[in-house]
Amino acid sequence: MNLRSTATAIGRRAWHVLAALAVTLMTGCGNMMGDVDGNWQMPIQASKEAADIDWVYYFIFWICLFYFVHIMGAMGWFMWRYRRIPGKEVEESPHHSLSLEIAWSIPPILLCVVMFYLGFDYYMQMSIPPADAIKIEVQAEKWSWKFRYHNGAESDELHIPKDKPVVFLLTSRDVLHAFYLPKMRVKKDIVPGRTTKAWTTANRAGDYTLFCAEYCGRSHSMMRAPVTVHETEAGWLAAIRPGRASPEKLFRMNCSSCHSIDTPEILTGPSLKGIGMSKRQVAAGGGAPTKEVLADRAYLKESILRPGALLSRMGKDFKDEMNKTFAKQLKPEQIESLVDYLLDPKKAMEKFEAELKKAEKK
Amino acid sequence: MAENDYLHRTHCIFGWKKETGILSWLLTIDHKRIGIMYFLATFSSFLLAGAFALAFRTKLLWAEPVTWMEPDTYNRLFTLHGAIMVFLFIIPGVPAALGNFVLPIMLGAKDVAFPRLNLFSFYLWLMGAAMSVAAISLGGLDTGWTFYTPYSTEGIRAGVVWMASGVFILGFASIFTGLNFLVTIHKLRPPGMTWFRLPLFVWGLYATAIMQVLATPVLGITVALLLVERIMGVGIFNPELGGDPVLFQHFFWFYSHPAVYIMIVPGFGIVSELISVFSRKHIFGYSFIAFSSVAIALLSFIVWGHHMFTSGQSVLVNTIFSALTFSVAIPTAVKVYNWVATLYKGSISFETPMLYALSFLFLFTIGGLTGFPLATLATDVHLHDTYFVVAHFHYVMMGGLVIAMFGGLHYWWPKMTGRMYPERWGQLSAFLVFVGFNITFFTQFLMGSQGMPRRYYSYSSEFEIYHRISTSGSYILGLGILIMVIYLLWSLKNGEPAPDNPWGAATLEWKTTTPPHFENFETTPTVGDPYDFSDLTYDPQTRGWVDTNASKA
Repeated sequence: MNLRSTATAIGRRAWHVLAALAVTLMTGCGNMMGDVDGNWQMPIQASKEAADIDWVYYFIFWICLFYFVHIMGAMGWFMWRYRRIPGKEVEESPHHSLSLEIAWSIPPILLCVVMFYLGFDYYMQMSIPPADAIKIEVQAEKWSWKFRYHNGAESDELHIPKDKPVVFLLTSRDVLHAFYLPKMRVKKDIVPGRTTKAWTTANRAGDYTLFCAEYCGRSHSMMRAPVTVHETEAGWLAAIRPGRASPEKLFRMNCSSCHSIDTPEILTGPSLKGIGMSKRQVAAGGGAPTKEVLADRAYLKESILRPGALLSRMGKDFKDEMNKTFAKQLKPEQIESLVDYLLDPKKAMEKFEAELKKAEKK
Repeated sequence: MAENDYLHRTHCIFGWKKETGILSWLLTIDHKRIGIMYFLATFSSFLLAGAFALAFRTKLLWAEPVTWMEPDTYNRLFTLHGAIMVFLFIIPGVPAALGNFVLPIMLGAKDVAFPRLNLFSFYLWLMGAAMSVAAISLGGLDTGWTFYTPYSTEGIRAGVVWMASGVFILGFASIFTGLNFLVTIHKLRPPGMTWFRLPLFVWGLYATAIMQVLATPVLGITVALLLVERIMGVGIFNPELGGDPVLFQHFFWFYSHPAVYIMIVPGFGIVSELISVFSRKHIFGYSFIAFSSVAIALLSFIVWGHHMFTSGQSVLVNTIFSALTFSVAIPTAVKVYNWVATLYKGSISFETPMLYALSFLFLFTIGGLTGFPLATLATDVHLHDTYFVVAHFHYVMMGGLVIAMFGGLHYWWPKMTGRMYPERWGQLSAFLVFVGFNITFFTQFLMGSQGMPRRYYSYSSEFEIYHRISTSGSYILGLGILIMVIYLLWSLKNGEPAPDNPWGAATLEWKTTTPPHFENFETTPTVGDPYDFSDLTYDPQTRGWVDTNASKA
């Protein structure tokens, strides 16, 4: 029949597609292994705990593989051996057996106990940081990270020393986030209104990425931060030397997740490219039409301290999403520095460098 | 005879005399017609949510942001995919659609215990669905199907109120179905239909109904509290108002974990039927399969905390939940072994329903086994909220329940429509679904364990190759389902007329006419062992199986 021949043709084509896919999959796997540079299923082990956790993972994996292979093996064998052959009657066989039921219930129970215990044991070790661990405060917000070190230094990049236990004190300024360092096998949710803890001992110097693993809205997938594990403690201390942050860094740490400064692209908030001394349309409030104001020093400062008071109408309508004030988060001189930067990024950086040089001479 | 089947005659609510036409369907109290309506409605939801998935999987072909899909759109798509699949399709999909159609006939009853409540439940479903659709049009919903606070209670999300109200109402639809089935199974079994002569699908529905009735109210309470916080500003979950966001997670999973089993347990029932019938072998370990369903139903209430190992709940609580979670593995393993043992010394044929049942065994075994590293505390910390979890629950939900449902759909299709579906096309589609599914989701295990977080719009380029394979797989999967939809619709007019018992099954729904009489049975059927096939012989003339014992008598 026509239907049948079409089906066969499609079936034959399906095999070609499948073969092509299998080849892609295999060569792809080759590439994948090269790129990720981990141990087959897990990424690089960059912490002391990672090796233990991977050991537990592979232990479970082999048990699972054993179960999968023998169950599917039996199924496949029965499918072939007892396929329907016209004229052949069904052989008599029992349809219940208490001893068989017991036999196939006991081993999984025992294995479950072992798996549970291994998971529990290593989890306990992961849960209790040593008392002398280095403390780093981590503050998450939509959609950026801020790290505060014991010496008061702040940055948007995470720096930790090698071979030293580090405990992260995690807080959120808005919604749920999660602190996830895949290569250290560390993950902890960050709950607003609480401080949660995670800790690790990094044992491999290099550059890594911190991910947000709890969905937090628009730019959740961009909420990543660079992580550097320093070979020596001295190198680590040099990287987190406290000092005045440059205006550019201040902008990056506080503003850039929602506002762009060097392109007119509209992110969550309006672009701030060339905002200094430009004319802005703002909502006048009280239902009145928009009015035009000059984005001078006072306007910019007001917008940082009381966002929402002057809702910009540049390009498109913005909702009052910047519903937090930066009055508490930033020191007065940092706000001045940011305003300088918004007025003229280049000049602000020159001013900052000149001041830095002056301070060094002293 | 044909004019007495349920497609031509029916009982309507309030005793209205309507036999055919659209009103005779909308006002019917016949469980079979309600089941068909439920099926059309839930299956449309499935296709819609599946299309959403194909759309965002297409975005994921590229690691970088793309101009044609904003992150907001992506977030809305995965939220709707999850919410519609779970609340509109998977939860009601098998019990309210296939279960409604089959359960009373399998029991030998005329209808469910409360036919009007059954119709009401369908209208509640429609109302809940309409409100969810309203949520889409009202600026969309981007919270993920889990609605985690405080993100979901932030001021700017109008869609949340609509979706939450919709879910609240859908919950009642589910409770009423569960209640109806419980009473039906307890009170409407005819003489001879003892508890241990119940087909295993009925046992599955029974276990499901227990969970629907006991767990769903918690969802109602949670959603109601969420609305109280949203509308009246009372601090329950939002820390700014003095609430606790982790409390929401406890409430949410206290329902949603049993819900996972509400979704899968009816699938166990379907697969038990299929494996036995298509092997022409009595199901192995009947009572173990039946009781393991009930055991899983009960255990489902005490394992919810395993969704929250990294949430900040205490180490002690995590330990207890991890231990309890492992206990679910035992009844599940018992089931799989019994199904495989049923194949032993059978006479196995590979029609489409059986292909789905065997796919189920393969996929569900993977889904179940990958639960181990997630139940284990130390490894879950790394795997939680990565694609490993996404792959795991798709293997259980889609590879388990949806595949079982496809099997059940093809199995009962002749009974429901009076037409056979085209077998070769069915097999081709089952094959494409199986291959496409594995390419899509197995890849996700690999990227998940490598640390690819879930719900990511853009991602590190090292994962691009995995995502591209996964997306290619999803197109094959989509093609398989598209073919299925087309040939099923085609078969409604052009399929061969179906005999009363095309598969040689011994449960009661195959002892009535095809399509069934509007009151299910013209003559009272004799109740026997539902898995004893020895009296059935194939009749090449009708292309169906006949009961040699009955014809002798």
